[in-house]
Amino acid sequence: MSSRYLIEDKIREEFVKIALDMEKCVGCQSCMFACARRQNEVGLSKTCINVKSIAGMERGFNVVVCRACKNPPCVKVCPTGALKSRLGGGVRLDIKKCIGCGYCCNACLIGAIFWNDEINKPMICTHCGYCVNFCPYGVLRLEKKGGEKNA
Amino acid sequence: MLRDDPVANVLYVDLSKKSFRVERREDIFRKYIGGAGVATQLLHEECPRDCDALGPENPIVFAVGPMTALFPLASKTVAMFKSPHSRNLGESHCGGRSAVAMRMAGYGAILIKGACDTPLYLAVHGNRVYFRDASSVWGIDTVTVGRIIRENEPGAGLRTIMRIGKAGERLVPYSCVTTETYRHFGRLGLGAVFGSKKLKAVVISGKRSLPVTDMRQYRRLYDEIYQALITTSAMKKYHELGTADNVLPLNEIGGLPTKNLKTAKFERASEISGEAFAEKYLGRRLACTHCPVGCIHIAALREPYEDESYFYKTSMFSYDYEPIYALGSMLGGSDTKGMLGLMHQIEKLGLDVMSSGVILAWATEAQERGLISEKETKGIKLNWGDYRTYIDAVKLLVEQPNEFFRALAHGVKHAASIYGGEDFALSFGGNEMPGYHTGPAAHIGVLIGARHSHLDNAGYSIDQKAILAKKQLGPEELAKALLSEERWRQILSSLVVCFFARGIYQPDIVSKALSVTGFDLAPEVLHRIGEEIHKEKYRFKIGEGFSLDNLYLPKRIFETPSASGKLDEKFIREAIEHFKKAIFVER
Repeated sequence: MSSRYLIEDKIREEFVKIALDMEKCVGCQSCMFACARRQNEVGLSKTCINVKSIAGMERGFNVVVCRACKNPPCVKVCPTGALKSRLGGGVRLDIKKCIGCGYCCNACLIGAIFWNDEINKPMICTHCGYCVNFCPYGVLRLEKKGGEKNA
Repeated sequence: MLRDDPVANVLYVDLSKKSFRVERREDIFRKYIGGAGVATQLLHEECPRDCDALGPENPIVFAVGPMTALFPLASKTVAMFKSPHSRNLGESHCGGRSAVAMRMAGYGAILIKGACDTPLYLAVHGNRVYFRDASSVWGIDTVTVGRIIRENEPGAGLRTIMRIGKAGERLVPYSCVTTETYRHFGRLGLGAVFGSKKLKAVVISGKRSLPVTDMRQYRRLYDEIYQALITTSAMKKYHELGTADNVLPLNEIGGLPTKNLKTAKFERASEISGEAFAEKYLGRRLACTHCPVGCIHIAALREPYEDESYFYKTSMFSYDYEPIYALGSMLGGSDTKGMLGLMHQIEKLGLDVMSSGVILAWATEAQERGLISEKETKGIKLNWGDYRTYIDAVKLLVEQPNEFFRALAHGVKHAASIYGGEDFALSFGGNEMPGYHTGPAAHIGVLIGARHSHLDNAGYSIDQKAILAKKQLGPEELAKALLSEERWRQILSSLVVCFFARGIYQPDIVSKALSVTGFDLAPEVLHRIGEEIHKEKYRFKIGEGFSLDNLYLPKRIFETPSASGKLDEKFIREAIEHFKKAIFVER
């Protein structure tokens, strides 16, 4: 089991999720690299966050990352029960049960389910919050339990 | 370097045959690291001596380095080619998403040769390469073509779209290549080389994992460098006002070229300062990939349509110190709205903004002195600060409807050789001057710099330090200071580290960062490699006919006092002699 999921288990008790203020984003993508490093990866193939321009840099950026839905559509379409709702929002992935059907990707309107081409399985933000440390302008921040009302 | 690091993969593309191959070039990457060092070698290998810069045999080389995508601010792409402007070494650096996209696509360098009969664009998505028909976008401006290609290619957020405008298509030798709407491979005419190959654009994207020697060490070092970067004062300056922060201080010391350098102080500098632009127009700040600084400043300008009430458009323009110098003080203008309009026109056409400004400034003075009349200018009366006429003039400069505009399209020195006014044609080494009349080092630096850019050796910074210390360097010391700075910058641009981060990426940090990529290079070894790369560039330059003897110096720089006082030609020639001795004796 990769370190990513261990971390997720640890923080499950105290629910935290990533919150966004996209208007502040300068598009530096430091968060994307941070997500990969958190998983002891260099580069971008394992990142669970994507920052892309909205029809060109002049219009600003769309930060694509799991929004920790309370009733996640990806869980509803998962045929094997590999995806489970996480306490307070978002999902947990049991990679052993996953058959790589990709239904979850199609179900996510935000496009926040990324794909690991090497093992043909999804990759989803665990809301570990590591990327927040590398967001210089406060686009990403961590919201603790009870803070959802500000979301 | 690491055996499985894709940085050593070079993608060779032949546009004539529409073919490509990938070759592993550990030999040159091991020796020259990446970026400028590797690109210089590829240019030596692939650019035939005395070739036509606008012929199919002139290669375009793009190169990044082993630290790209691993460390912040290692995010520049170095382009090398034979310049159609200086007819010699062409080198230009650009950020945006270009460097990381190339690295993530799995290449340390991409080399493009040949030419196509009909317009095309190249799409490189990881190991897939496509030659796509670009007939329908030929003639379309740089902003719009980006929008069109964006809709037709995959890799949103992970790609670069390098493209040219009409200036490149019409082979203006100082046209640029634009990426991500607002970043440029500027100066020496890469746009025209694209145009000569009928290459409208290059799209590159990819997503991959990269190897390091020691993950723990890598992450520790990353955190250290990242923290240092986000806490320095230099980074704060570049994020807050950006490079436009320099307008007022340069004017204060009397080093801001104004009205074709008739003076070096602009009485209305406060109206075109970084502060003024931020207050009136700053609408957004942007960053290059993997750079927390976000130095790119975008002005938002709301304008009404003249023919309909309550109908507005809001346009976004990027501004920086150099465009403000070239189109502001140099043209004697403080109408910022007009200036932004001209900036946007130049952006859409894909011209180098510095060269364009200097050429318009020369033309204004030439008309003022009666060297040219409205017959040449097709009825345009060029006037200092009159942006409406300047916008018309740049359009004609690209259209080239007559002999005069054709001459302007070939640079200020060429135009002056036909119409006179060479004394005030501000060209150094075949390149129009950057925005510094700070003292002797600024001009000498551009003259002897391998690519005749103020960024080669930052002479303007040496001048400013001397002014602060109230101590002028002698010609020999000055030549040595310029040479030593330029040599170290070969390392930075081989790592493709942005020069804004040069304060953080000191030799010992560079050495440590390289070690996790499998390069074992001590600081003194780095210095030696920097020296060698610089010599290799000069080997190319001399092979193509460059000489340090009798370099052309426009008289104007001696007439107008600089921030360091009146300049002395003898001093400058002496410093060049010392430079010559220093690079050739040590050979």
